[in-house]
Amino acid sequence: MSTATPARRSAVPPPPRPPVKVYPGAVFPESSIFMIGYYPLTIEPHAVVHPRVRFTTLHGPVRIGPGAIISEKSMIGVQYTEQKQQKQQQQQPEQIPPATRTTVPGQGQGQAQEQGESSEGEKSQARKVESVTLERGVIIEPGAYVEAELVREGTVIEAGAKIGRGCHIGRFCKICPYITIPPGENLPDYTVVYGNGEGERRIDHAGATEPGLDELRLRMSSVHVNLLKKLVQVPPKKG
Amino acid sequence: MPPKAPKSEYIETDTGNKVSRRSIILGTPHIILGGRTAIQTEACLRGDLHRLSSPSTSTSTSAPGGTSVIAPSALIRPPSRLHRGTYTYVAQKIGDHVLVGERAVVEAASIGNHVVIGAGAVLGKFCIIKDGVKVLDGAVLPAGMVVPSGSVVGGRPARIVGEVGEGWGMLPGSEGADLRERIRAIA
Repeated sequence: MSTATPARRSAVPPPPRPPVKVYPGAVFPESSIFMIGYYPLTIEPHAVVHPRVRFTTLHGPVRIGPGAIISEKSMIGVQYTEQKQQKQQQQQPEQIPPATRTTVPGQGQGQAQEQGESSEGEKSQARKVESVTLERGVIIEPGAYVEAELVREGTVIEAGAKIGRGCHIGRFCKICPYITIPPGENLPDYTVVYGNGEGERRIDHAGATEPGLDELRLRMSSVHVNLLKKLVQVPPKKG
Repeated sequence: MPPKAPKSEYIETDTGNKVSRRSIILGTPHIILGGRTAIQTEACLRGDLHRLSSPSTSTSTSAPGGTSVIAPSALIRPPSRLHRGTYTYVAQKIGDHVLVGERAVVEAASIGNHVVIGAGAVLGKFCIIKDGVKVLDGAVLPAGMVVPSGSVVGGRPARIVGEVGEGWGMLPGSEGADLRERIRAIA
């Protein structure tokens, strides 16, 4: 009778899908990219998105600039709201035994005030839009996690690096693998972050002083993009 | 009617390769598997990033050798560079009995035999790993690093931190040795 019964569907509503605008000339294998969110996702011309990239636009729009390269398994966009992250952090110190805490007189009042502030803060944060913008020629390597508000042109973020929310990364910076940039940092132009954890920083003086090097770097990435446009395949859909 | 047998996660080829259905393999004409190689869940092999100048499909972009294991979420992609004004991807070769750890990112030019790459290691572009090398977990090898045979590398950035012991890869079941048992266990 009912031979063509569809596969059992989950009762959970599907995650929200962002409105996507892909400009002509961009490589965007849509079937193999994870997208979640309400705000728009914009892929500008000549940007290359490899398969298995995860875009989150739950808390703000995401804009991928022209000629940017986003590698596999990287995550772009703010994942959690700030209050959720703060709650997670607040839960940790509560595990500390009470003896180690310092008592402050009038703590009750302070707490009440704090609570009032936080509830107001939550309201304002609920409206706060946390966008992510990657400018021209930005290269994101595999497994990087970018929540930064702005990554300026020509910057390279290497494998597994984590860029916190609200960061402003300057032009032609280089973030080495597995570096963590804490939220809200401003990196000046031509910064190189290397080493372990939050890493050490230096300024790439060659880039800063040599005239014409920026154009050469951008030209190299545009040549790379032209090649990728011919090569990147869309993975087949698996049944 | 008996319930349908669940589909196995792995597809086994004639030469004994076990390829997970949940792996991401692109550009299959450019990938040569050496036989008895296991490619696990969510591992990603990019054969589509090949050299354009050579039209023959026999040139392998990525060639994991025989009896190797590519662990879950590992990424193997060929290295690329600007060469004489054109940007090209270059063929990549991986030897026999190589274990690529979970979440590792491999952009090396060549990897020898009996190599163990730790979980989360990043092998930069055009790295050359000789035979019998151990790359520790989370190591970050800068682009173009050449690792001599028999060494242990680790750290960020990676340095040579020691030597593998005598008989590395000789004793069955020991590190760097034949991975046949491990591949047999994968089903």
